[in-house]
Order: sequence, then structure tokens, then C-alpha cells
Amino acid sequence: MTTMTDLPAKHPPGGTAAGSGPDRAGQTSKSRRRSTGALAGWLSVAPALLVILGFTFYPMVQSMLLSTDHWNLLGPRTFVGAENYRTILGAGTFRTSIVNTLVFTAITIVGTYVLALATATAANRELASARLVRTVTVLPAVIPMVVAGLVWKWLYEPDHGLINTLIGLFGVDGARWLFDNDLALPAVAVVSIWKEFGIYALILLGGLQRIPDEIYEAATIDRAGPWRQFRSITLPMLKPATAAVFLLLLFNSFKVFDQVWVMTEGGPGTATLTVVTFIYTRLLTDVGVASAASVVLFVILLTITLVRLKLTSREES
Amino acid sequence: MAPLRRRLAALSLASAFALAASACASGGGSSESAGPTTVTFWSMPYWIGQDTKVKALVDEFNASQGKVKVELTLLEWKDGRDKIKQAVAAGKGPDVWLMNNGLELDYLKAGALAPLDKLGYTAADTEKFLPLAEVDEYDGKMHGVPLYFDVDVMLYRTDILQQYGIAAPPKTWDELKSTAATITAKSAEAGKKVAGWQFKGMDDHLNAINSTWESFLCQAGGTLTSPDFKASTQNTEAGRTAMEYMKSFYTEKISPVGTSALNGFISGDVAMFPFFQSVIANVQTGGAKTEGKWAVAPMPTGPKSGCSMVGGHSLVAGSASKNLQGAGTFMRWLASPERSAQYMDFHAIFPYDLGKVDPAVKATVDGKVKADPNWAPIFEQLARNTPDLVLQDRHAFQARWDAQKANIVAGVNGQASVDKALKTVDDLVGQALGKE
Repeated sequence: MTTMTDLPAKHPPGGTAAGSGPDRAGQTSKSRRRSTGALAGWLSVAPALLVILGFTFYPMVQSMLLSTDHWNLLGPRTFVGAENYRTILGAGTFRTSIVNTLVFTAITIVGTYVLALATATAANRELASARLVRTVTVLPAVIPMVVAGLVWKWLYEPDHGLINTLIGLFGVDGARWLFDNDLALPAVAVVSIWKEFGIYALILLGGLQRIPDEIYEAATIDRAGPWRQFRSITLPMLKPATAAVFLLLLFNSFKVFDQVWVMTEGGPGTATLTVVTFIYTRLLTDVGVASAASVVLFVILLTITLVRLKLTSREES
Repeated sequence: MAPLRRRLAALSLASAFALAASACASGGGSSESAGPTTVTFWSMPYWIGQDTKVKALVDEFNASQGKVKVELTLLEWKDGRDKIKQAVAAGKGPDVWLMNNGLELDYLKAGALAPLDKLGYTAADTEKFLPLAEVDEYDGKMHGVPLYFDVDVMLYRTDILQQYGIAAPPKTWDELKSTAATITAKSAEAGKKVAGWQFKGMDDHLNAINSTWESFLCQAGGTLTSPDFKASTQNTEAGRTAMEYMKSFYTEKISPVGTSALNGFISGDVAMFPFFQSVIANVQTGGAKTEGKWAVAPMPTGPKSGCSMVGGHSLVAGSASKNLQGAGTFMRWLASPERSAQYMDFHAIFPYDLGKVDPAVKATVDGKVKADPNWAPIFEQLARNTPDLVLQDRHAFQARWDAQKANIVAGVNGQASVDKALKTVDDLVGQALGKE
């Protein structure tokens, strides 16, 4: 096998190749190759870069600019400085939307992770049913969220919905689910968990399959029980997959909108009002306030990402 | 550069859907040419229960003459208004479109709507409308032509009231509460739970809380804004009276939160509910479940009056349209007394003064009123209402719409205290009024 050390050295250490004819020609050719390579590189990333600049960076900058203006789309656009930020940070409704988003995120992350891990563990066994588990759990993910939200809205319907009809078979009155101030947000979170856990189970399954069997065999010889093996081998070795799942869940939960809008429109009252729902309701009448809220959401997510990256790099080092 | 910046920003905000809709309207503002001039018309399917009817009307107009050709883009109610606003902001708006009665202040203040005199309307034309048409005035000029009006009324199940020995629908707030309580309690005793009353909006139709609340606030003597439209005035004694009254239906277990007023009414699980009379079209979809088992009554009167919210839709034309005369021709046809008489088929209120329309049209309208006994209470309710509430509602409309949807529901279902709910509405609406 040829290694790097076997290759002939083009520029001996300490040599000053500049000035010598053949060397200069070689360098020119290398430089040309390098610039051609760079051009090819830029050309290959250019489409993606253009899309990112046009559809992510430009709207982001526009959003930041708009957050300092008062504008209703039709009238004049007037600069108001930090007034929009003062408005939303001073408004109980926006604070409620942040609290609701955090609660929704916590419920969704815990619920989805636990369910996904249990599913991945079950699917990781060499059983005939494992394939079925894998297929069935991923099925909800292919349903559009709006459709899933509508279906669950019917299921939760307080008088004739399936859930309360089933509860009624036991002679008990079901809850008012989406119309109960305390239950509405968890009820919406259940839909997200149900719909998404299959995808995260696949990610975790990939992580599980990368853990060498020998470690478990050694642990078994050492008489470690299943729980001990799970706690001391599976969970620590799943850390990279868990980190990815955590970040994805975090972002998706913070951006939750479709199911909330379809099922409750943020109600009853403000019980399920999330940050993106708040932004949407103001988008066409007070663009500045909506943009300011978007910027606040961006800062929150950026902070969480930076903290997470810092922790990860510390763990790695 | 400011207009360019504005336009770029508006475009970046517009959804792909809106852009597609805009593309459909590329003929908008077409200039006069040898052939028929083209007028673009964006509308939601306002003919309730018959979504294709608007297209049929446009086809009928196009076939009726050769000077103006109307191109219809049919939008959905859920986001049609948003798409229109995005398109108008981006300079790609239609020539004619549908707007709530009362019109939107953002459009009016921006000069985006053409006054009717620019569309060929004369004073004699506009004087034919009911006095309520004042809701379309701005700066002393009408900027929209009403297609029809809606008013909040009460619908009640005659069979259920009869079953519990109630001879007539309630006429006051006290009667409403005692009647509803009787039905709820007696039906539960009989083992078939029926909600005596459900406030529309405290169910799956969240947006309806706006008209419901504004009706009850009005009946308690409240207003939405101060006379100069500068301050929100819901956190008042009238506001507290209205909200405490509504809340008591839930704290006293007369009404169940979440039960659909309309579906429950159709299935016989709800005895009475308030909403715009146009909901009759939906009630009739119940077929045998509702046929001959329901009726309309005016809203029960509150401590101060029996007024209620006025709704409905108008046609407006964009001031940027290059074909205002064509737009006017089409609007005069679609919002004519002849067509508005047709709209009564979906229980929309005829917007013209019957004494000022053609005798043939009057005969048509009279015939329809005589044939359906529900028109009498609807017109009785109409007579109780003034343009005031709608004109107040025009100011900070969207902010109030969202604030009420969240906070009135929260105050009525107990998530927030009555005082806090009303104060929050005033704070949010007040901020928006301050920016006008």
C-alpha cells in the first residue's frame, strides 16, 4: 500500500525552489490546478450558496431591518428604533408564547426521546417483528402535519370524538382536551410526539447499531444485567445520536406552528399560543412587531446552539 | 429608494401561493384597447353552500355584455384576505375584490381603495342603500358597495324548547339564562344531555368569538373605542357586565366549553346559539335532523339594548386599477338590487332601501320575506343596529380580532380574570390604535 511517506518529495525541506525554471513551471501548473480546483469548488457550491443567500440570508437581513420599522404592508414604512422590541417584550402575550413554547419543547423532547429510544431498542433486536416495528413507527411521519392535526382534532372532539367515546365506555366523562386550558398544550404536543418519534427512532437505531456487540458480550460475562448494560453502555455510546436528536427536536419544537394553528389557533385563550403562532397573527398587520419577534426567536435558538456547541467541544476535548 | 425597499420587502413576505395568485392576475390593470377591457376580480366563495355560484355569476356578467371581461380568481376564506393584501402591497392586486363591510382602515388610509364616484357611481346610486351602508364611508365618500349584510341573531331549536315546556324564545338576558339552565338541567336528569345555550366562539369556531363578544358588549352598553377612535374602551363596567354574564354560563355549568354550537344545534345537543343569520345555510345542511325544528329570533336584550354585531361583505376597487370604469361597471352589476335579491337565497340581508328600488325587485324581496317567517326577526334585529360598532371595529381591526380571540375566551373560560382579560384587550388594541 502506498502511503504519503512513500511519495517522492516535490519540494525538499529547506529548498528554495523559486527561481529555478522547472520548479517554477511546476509551481505555476500547481497554482493553475489549485485555482481550477477552487473555481470548480465554488461552481459546485454556487447553486446552494445562491439559494441560501436568497432565501435565508436576505429574508433574515430584511427581517432584522423590518424589526425597527412600523409598517402594515400598505402604508408608509417608518423607522421606530427599538419600539417593536419594547412592545413585544413588554407584552404579556409574547411572554406567554415563549413560556408555552418552552413547555411544548420540554414535553415534546422528553416524550419523543423516550418513545423513540424504546422503539429503537425494540427494533434493534433480531426479531421478525422488528421490521414491522420499524415500518409502523415511521408511517405517521409521512402524513402532512396539517392532515395529522385535523385528524387528531376530530379524535379529541369533546362530545363525539373517538377518544372520549372510548373513555365513555368505562362510564367516565372524557376531558374537553383542546378546550381545557391545562390540557390543550400537552394534547397538541402528543400529536407532535406521535408524528415524529418514528424518524428519531431511526436515528437512534443507527446509533444503537454502531455499538459493537463485543462490549455487550463482555458485560454479560461480567454479569451485568440488562438495565446496567443499558445505563452503562447503551446510553453513553448513544451520546452522539442523542445530541443530534436533541438539537433537531429543539429546533422543530421551537418552530411549532402547523398543528397548533390547525387544532387550536393558539387557544383556548392563549393556552397554546407559541412564538411562531404569535408571529403569524401579526405578520400582515404589524410587520415590525412580527419581525422583532422573529429576531428574538432567532437569538434564542442561536444561543442554545452556541451553548450546545461549546458543551460538545468541551466534551470532545 | 424607499418604495423599492418596500416593494422588495413585500415581495419577500408574499408566499409562493400569493405569487401564483398574482400571476393569475397579470391582466390586472390592463389598459383600454380595441376589444373588451379586462377586469380582474378576486373573491372568496361568498355564496354560502354554493362555491361555484360566484363563478356562475361572473360568467353571466361576461355573457351579458361585450365591453368588459371579468377574470375571476377564486380564493379560500382561510387565507384569501391575506393573499389580497400581499398582492396589493406588492403592486399586483386585482381591480375588484371582496372586503368585509366596514372596510379595512389600512387600505383606506393608504389610499388603496377607489372612492365610488371614481367608478361612475352617483349620489342617486348610493342613496339607494340602507343607512347601514355608512359603514363603507371614509372621509365623506363611499369606498365600497355592500353586496349584503349579516347581523348576529339567535337560532333556537323549537322542538327542544317545546319538549321542556318553553313556549317562546327568550327575550332578555335573564330569560336566556333561565331558559338555558332549565334545558341543561332537565335534559341531564332525563339522561340525554342537551346544552341549553352555547356561545359561538367558545367552541371550535374560535373566530366567531369576535362577533359574539361585540354583540354582548353592545347589549351591555359598551363600545369598542372612544368616539375619536383613539382609545380602546372594553375594560369598563359594560365590559365587565358582559363578560361576567358570559362567564356565568360556564361556571354554573349551563354551557359546556368546546361543544360545537353549530354541530350541536344540528344534532340536537345544543338548544340555542347566537351567530350571523347566514349560518342558516349551514343549519339547513342538517337535512332531516333540523328540518322544521328550528327558528330565528332577535338577540335577547341586555341591560342597555338589543343591538348586535353587523357583518357582511362589500365590493371594492383598487385605486391603482387602470380600468376603474370597467371595474365600476362590473361592481354595479354584481352588487345591483337584482343580484342582492338573489343573495337572499343564502340568507344574506338585502342591502338596499326597499322604497328606492325597482318595483319588480321589491316584489321579489317581499315575496321571499313572506315565504320565510325567519326574515321578520332578522329584519327586526337589523333595525336595532347602527353603523357605530362597525365603524369603531374598523380601527385596529386585526389587533382587536386577535386580542379578543385570545383574551375574551380566556376571560370567559376562567383562564384569566375578567379584569385582566379586558385590560389585556385594551392594552393590545390601544397599542395598535396609537400607531394609526
